[in-house]
Amino acid sequence: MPDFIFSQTILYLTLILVLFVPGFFLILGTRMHKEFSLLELFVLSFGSSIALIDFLVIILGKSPLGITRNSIVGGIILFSVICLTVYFIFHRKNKDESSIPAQTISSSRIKKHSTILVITLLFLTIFIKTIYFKDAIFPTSTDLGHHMYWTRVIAVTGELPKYEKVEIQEDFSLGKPSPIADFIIGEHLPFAAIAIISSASVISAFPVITLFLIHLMSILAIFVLTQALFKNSKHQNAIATATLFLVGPLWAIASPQAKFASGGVIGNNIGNLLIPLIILLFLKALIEKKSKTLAYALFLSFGLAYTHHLSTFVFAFIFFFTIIAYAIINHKTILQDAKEWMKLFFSPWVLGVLAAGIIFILFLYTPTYLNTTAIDTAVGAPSKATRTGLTFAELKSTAGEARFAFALLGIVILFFARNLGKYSQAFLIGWIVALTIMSLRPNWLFVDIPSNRVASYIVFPIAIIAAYALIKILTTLKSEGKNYLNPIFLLATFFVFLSFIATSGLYDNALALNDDSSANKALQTYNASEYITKRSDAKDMILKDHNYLAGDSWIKLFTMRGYSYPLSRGYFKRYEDETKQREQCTNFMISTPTTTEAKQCYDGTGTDFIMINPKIDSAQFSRLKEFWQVYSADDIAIFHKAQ
Amino acid sequence: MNNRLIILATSFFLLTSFVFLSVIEKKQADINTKNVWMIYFENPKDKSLNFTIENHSLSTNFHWEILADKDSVTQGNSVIANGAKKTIPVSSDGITNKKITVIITSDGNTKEIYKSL
Repeated sequence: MPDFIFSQTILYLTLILVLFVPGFFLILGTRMHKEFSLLELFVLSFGSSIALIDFLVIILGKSPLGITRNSIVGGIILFSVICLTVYFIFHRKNKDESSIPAQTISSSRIKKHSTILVITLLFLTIFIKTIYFKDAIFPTSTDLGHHMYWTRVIAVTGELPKYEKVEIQEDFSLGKPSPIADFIIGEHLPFAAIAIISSASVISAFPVITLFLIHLMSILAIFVLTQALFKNSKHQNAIATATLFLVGPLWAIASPQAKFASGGVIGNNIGNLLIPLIILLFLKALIEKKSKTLAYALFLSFGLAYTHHLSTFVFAFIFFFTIIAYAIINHKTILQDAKEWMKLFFSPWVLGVLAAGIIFILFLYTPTYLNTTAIDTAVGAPSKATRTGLTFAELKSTAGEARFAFALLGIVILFFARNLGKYSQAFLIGWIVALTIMSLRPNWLFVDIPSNRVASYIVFPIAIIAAYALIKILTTLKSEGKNYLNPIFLLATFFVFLSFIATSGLYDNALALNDDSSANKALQTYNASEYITKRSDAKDMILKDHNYLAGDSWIKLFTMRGYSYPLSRGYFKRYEDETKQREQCTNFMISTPTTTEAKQCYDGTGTDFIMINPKIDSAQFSRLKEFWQVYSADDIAIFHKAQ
Repeated sequence: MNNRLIILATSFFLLTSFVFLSVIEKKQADINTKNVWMIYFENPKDKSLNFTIENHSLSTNFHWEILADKDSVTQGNSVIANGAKKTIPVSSDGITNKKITVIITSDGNTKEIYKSL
């Protein structure tokens, strides 16, 4: 028990050190804390820390210091001390300035019940997600297993990882390592830093807990962004609270919410935090005409680029469509506005961040996806059925039926909502239009990415716009001085809306809840992995099955013999891909081990251990003399191919 | 809106949730609560027949039997506590061209491993 309490304390202190301290001191050092409310400061500190940790660990990895506990902690402390020193030097020169953020003063005027309502919604959000995570906290998910492998590589070697995989060639042999474009270093560095400093095992609750934290911060980011977008509305807080209601306790589990956290979809999770924060900073920079805030937005954009290619790609489209929306809405003033943007852009802060970013990309570390193959993969005519766009019904289901209905209405209202402010209106329209087209008609934009992945990003703007529509309707029905409805009917309307939304959102939650944990089966897989790791070496080749084994992607965290070790029989549909020639060896070697092709595969790859589910796949091996069953448990068996 | 209170409340809720989830995960990660047991050859690659019973179940009595093809060669019983494992030495001297199967039974549940020598 004392060990558990100690390890928990160290973990939470590490989370604060890695995911809050650097960002907070960055904002303090650049004296931007005055520009934000306390809640904005809280969320921005968190988001900035993720970007800063990425850059810090990359620098350490490229330096002789290496990535160690001392170097990371030392780096964070050094950075914080420098920021603090800059803050005090600047503070002394500007003693007269008020140190109380303007937002805080206005915030205190808002009534107590709003705070209680927001806290209640946050409690419900965390409570419902915790109920879901209860059965998903034990690490078994495939994506998380892949990501934690690279995290462990960084933690074990103290170096930046080489993202490489080995594939089976046409002659059945294993090819030379080739680069992987799908993994982005920023997905792994914060986790590696936490694992190194706290000594927490990657096969524990810490990765999902960290993802839960990031996810909750993304909900708070949406909340503060909504406040900023509707700053001109007298119902600013009501819309923000309604957004929190639509994105917090309701639809709390389905993708991209808690399921993305438990499933280890790290890049999307961080992307869903950074995209709202970047929009918030761009919005503030343009409204308040502050180049320092624009530089901050660019800095976080670089952070996003080092974390997740799909999110960066999506954000680029959001940005592009926002400019178009702005130009259409404000066609009379666009040239004058463009001149002001140029003034903001050509400032020492912005140019400094831009130069630092370019130097970082060109000379220090280039993200793995910035190569021709990866760009070709994402851009062009849709190459698969899953990339040709969703149907309207599918998009409605992804967004949540009730939210979608109100958002449709909200989009119409938005086009006439000039009082919101030209930038707020443009960002909201640009955001929703970009994601709608990317999800429904990707071919119009030459986007070649799985449409359901793109559509998962639409949940946040849909929630904001739906909340806007909901509040707009209710407040219009009860405008100042005139009631269009009898108060009883007004109350009834409110409860009808509430019931419609809550039923839809809670039903979605109920559908997504797990029946049971897969820990039992996964633990057997991990036990078998320990067994095989101790009794084999790199000259042996293991083949495992992904279809019927629980937690199989975590086996490589035991062997630690490369990302492609052990070989894996993937989902059967992968072997029938008409658009791409796939290797068949991993399927043949388990499904039909007696065929000529399978024998060639065994010889070519040197496979001599097979890990399968005995209830499904043992019959074909038990008949063969050259296969020995050397390990047996309820849900996993290991066969050895004797020489 | 009182931002300070919102931040403090959120931090408290999160911390409570994290500690709860960590306790749950710790329990789920304890294989001794999963009522499973496994058997394996100590040396999977060579012809040695020493095998181990690893018990994480509530049952403690294990009956083992060694077959050469379909003929019983030897058998025995072992008492293994939950969380413990026991290696049983088996000589492979003089055995050729036979399938050696180790069958373990405990509480009505049977598992086997084998090698063809």
